[in-house]
Amino acid sequence: MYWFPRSYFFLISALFAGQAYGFLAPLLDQGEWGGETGFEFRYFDDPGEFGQEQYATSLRFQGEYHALWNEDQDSFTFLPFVRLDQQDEERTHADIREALWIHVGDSWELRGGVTRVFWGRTEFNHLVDVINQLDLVDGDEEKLGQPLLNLSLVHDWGIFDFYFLMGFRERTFPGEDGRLRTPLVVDADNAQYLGSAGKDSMDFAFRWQRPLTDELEMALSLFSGVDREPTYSFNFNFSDPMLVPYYSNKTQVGLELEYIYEGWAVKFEGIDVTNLIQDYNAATLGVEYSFYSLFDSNVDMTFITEYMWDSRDETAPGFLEHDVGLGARFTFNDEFDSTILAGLLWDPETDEKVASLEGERRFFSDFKVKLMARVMMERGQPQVDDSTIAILNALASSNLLNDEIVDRAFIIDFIVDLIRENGLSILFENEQFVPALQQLQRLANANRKLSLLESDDYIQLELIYYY
Amino acid sequence: MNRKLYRAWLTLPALAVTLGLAAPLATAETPEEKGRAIFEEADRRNDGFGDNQGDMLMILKNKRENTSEREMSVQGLEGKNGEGDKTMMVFLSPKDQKGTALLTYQHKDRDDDQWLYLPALKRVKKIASSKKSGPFMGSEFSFEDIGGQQVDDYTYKYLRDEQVDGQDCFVVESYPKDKNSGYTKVITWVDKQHYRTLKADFYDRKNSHLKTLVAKDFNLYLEKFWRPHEMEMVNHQTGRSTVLKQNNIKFNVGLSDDDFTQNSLKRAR
Repeated sequence: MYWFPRSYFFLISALFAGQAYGFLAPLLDQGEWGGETGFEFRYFDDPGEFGQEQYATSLRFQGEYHALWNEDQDSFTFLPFVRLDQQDEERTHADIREALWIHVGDSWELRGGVTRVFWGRTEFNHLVDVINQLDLVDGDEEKLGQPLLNLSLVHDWGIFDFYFLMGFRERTFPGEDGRLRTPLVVDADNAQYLGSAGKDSMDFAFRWQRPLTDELEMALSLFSGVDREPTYSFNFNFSDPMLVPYYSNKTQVGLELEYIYEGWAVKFEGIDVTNLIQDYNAATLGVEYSFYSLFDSNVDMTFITEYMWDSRDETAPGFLEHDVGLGARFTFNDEFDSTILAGLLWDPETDEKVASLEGERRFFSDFKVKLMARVMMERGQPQVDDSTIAILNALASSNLLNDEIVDRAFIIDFIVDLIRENGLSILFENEQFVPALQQLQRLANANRKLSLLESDDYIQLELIYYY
Repeated sequence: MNRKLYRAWLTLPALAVTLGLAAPLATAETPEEKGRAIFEEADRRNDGFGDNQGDMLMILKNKRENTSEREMSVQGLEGKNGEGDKTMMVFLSPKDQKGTALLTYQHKDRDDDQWLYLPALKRVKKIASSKKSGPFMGSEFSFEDIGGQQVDDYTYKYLRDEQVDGQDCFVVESYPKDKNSGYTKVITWVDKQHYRTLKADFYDRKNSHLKTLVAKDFNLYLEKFWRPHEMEMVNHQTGRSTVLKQNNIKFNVGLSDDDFTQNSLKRAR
């Protein structure tokens, strides 16, 4: 479920409390409402590995209120969001995606409230995009609203944005009954913080974007605050084994470049990260080419290829550490705005592959249908036959239990204590102990990250009504 | 969606067309010179519009007369000191497209710059400018039909004089220089009095008759600028057609460069 950081209230009070009703009147009188409702059905090719259902239905409601006043120099947007999920109680959640006031001046803008911000150029991953937390239960690219204050200056040298991020939001994760989850559920309610990181952290970000030539655009960004991506540790509770997310501070410098000429586009995103755990660099390089009016039809096709690299190699928390992304986007240019996107992610070192196909089309002017299918094509083998000793060894030498979070000596002491109390037989007889270790070992096997989702091939159909 | 924008609707009397120099000069011209002169005059007569805005309604009809509609609002700013015009187009309906916006910087000597804002992702995407012949938003208008063409983008040939709906017109054939164009030629009927495009026939790459445009319901703004409130493009090969209506056209609404930045693109409504 969701919560508001305390600073949310400070912010909202700061925005509105000082002003009398005179300020609020146009905000409430002159606005207009809109919104959308989505009905989603997911069907998985296999039953859940941990007894989850093979299908799930879900309802999504999203309102949108927009008001303009003061000769259009002030605006307010409110975007509440609710999802109800049939199976996963963690996926049933609500959020304020946006509650943003914007004041426009001459060559500057001040934005305050809750919003989502996108930075970046590439398609398969978004390295430089750091302002918002992911709403992972809702989708790979969905974001939670971030409370902030943003001053934007439009200058001859480009656009300069300064962000004060008020409070940190924790990532959402699928629950016990949800699909597309890790073998051990992430205990999102008990997130831990390292160093000075915390929920009430006040973070800072900056971005400068400008064209360098007619064809080349550039953006330079800086972020200092709580890393939106957690690392994980085991909770050492063998009767209720879970992963605990750990959040810590990072400083990130990001560079974006985009070169567009005729049908070609070359895109680059690179980051340099300094943090408590492990400093690293990561980059994505992409090349796209568009064929217009394919075979004299109205269809346009864009072919996308991207290479993703991360200096942490297989210890990177995601699975895009040395991967190739291939995609083809078909735009039909018809009255229904039909599109199809086919994508393939391929790790040349482990030969893991994920293929996806997405399509959408409008009908009856106010409805839209979206269809998606995702398949893990090359699956790792879960090594459930290993002996307990082998599992323990693999675990001890893995990066999952990071030195900064849990000391290895602590793990050994813990297990020795466990054996002292319960006898050696716990390693072989306990119903939770061995399976929990096995799942931990799967999580620690960086070369087979996709094996975690091996039984999660699925198709998803969404019907959306706009009003 | 992309490419050369909509300024045409608001700034040019439809397809960048108009009349040649005064009649006495015409006698000494070749048909090619006279054709070009007609378009130069059309261009000249549109100078000085400053800034403007308007609403557009696009009605798409298929062979069975089923229709679907799109609504947009458009703002335009005339370029100063030899720079091209700037245009902001915001989509209002269908509702799933609401808030999608397109910003275009036209350039006289090179390809235009164009950025598309996708509100669901909050993402601004730069768009490649080599797409010309494709349909705009599923309509029978292509990007090049509505883009802000320059006189130099074509060669011309004056054909004859002819009446359209009782109005005396020049008939001029023009040939696109760009190999990405979807046309081999366009025949345009330009009225002699005001240099407005009343009608145009488009011929595809196989040189067969593809489409016909008819513009009507012209209104005069600032006692100088003629704008058609309705245009219809009929595709003879597919039987489909698109009607484009313009409403609430206003000039001198006080727009400036600040209204045509990536920041204003993100909050366009």
